[in-house]
Amino acid sequence: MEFEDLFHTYYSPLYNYAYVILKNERDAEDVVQEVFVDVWDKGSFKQLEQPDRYLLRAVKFKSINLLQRLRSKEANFSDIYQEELVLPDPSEFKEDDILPLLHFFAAKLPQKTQEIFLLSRKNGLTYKEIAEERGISIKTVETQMSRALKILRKLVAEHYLLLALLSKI
Amino acid sequence: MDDIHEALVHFFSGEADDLQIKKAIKFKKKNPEEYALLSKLWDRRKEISIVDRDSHLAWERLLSRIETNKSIKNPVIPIFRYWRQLAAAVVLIASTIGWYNFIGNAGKWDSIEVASKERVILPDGSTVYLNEGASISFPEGFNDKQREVKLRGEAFFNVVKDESRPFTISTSSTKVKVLGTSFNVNATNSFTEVSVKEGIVEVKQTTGNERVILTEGLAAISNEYGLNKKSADANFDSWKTGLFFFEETELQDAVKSLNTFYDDKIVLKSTTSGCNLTAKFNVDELTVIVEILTHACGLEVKEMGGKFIIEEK
Repeated sequence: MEFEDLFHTYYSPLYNYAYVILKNERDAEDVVQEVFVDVWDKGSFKQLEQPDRYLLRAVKFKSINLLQRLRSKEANFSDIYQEELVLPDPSEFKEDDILPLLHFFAAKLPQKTQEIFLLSRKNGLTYKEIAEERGISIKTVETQMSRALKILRKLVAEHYLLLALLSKI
Repeated sequence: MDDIHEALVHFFSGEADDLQIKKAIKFKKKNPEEYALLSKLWDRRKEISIVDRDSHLAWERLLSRIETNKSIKNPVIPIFRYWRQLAAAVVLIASTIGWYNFIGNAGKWDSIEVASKERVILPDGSTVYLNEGASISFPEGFNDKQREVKLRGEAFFNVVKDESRPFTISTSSTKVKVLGTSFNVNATNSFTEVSVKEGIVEVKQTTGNERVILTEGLAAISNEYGLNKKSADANFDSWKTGLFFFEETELQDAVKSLNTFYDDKIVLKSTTSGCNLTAKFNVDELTVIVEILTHACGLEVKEMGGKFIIEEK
């Protein structure tokens, strides 16, 4: 995969992953950018057999690292500005939280599938209601939902060990 | 084999028929761990909220970062990628009304003035969205100590974090200083307004010692009355985003805000007052928006010469 393709494929999923941890647009974007700069610097992107795993690990590491640094800086900042600042608390991020990963998965879904997949979570809409809201057939909704699950299942297979560990089955 | 996904999806949402229930239960018995994991993930999707990001914009930022990063060990950036950026820069300059030097000393400064909304990428990879008629000037390369730009008009800044080099924006009356954040600056000769979307921003008056620190959702206005803090207008960056939030907003004010994004296409001829709106628009079709406005206020709309004229029935 070319570097630019790699970037476009993974940028949004990784951004969403980082955002769940950092809860800040700017920081999430910076972290993802930094990871790609590193990948570029190493000139190793062609050897990345499983880019998912490598990139996820790098983004996670940098995000948590940044949270800790921000946290330790907080005191200094308050000194300078004598104002209270609101920074995310690294302890809020639990190691066993699968929510960031779920965001990564969802952001990787094809556009249409993602829309319907996410729409269905709202207020527990039935497939019929989703179909009506979007002006499409129930069959289409069902197809897209099945497709979402199929992709999710594939991702689960790829990350099985990790996920099993995280959700402590 | 796709049946199984459909069966599971229906089963998870409680919409399965008898056959699908049978299939799902069979799957569960055969693969208990996978089933548990899938149903857990499926359930937790309620907590997902995806932020849509433009990877092309991010890609351009990455390119300018890679280019300025001196520690590149593998400097094989294909030439055409440079060219694409260069071409963009040339088009930008060509589309400006004119470019000139703000100040003559301290190295070469580029100035860009735009007739329509434009995005400019600064030497450090920060992005600036200039509103119509705004102008910005900045050095060809920032030095090691600070990143300084000058602004006239309105712009939204997305500043790359670099704690060792503060980013400052000088306007006619203020100096805005940040480390890395996003915010809006609207600077005319008589006033400067700074509204913060994210991060911390310091605003100082050029003359005098007045200074305020702003965080998310706050704004500062500097004018003849001095420098004052307030909460940011809900729609301060709508001219760029096309997102509008109105809460009990007077029709006149709503139209004024909407026109910043929709190029003054709405003309309000009715002088009816007392019609307050609560609505949310997200880069919607203007026809739809106008219809909602007029309907809510019991008015009428006519389309003429690409404009929407709102008047009394």
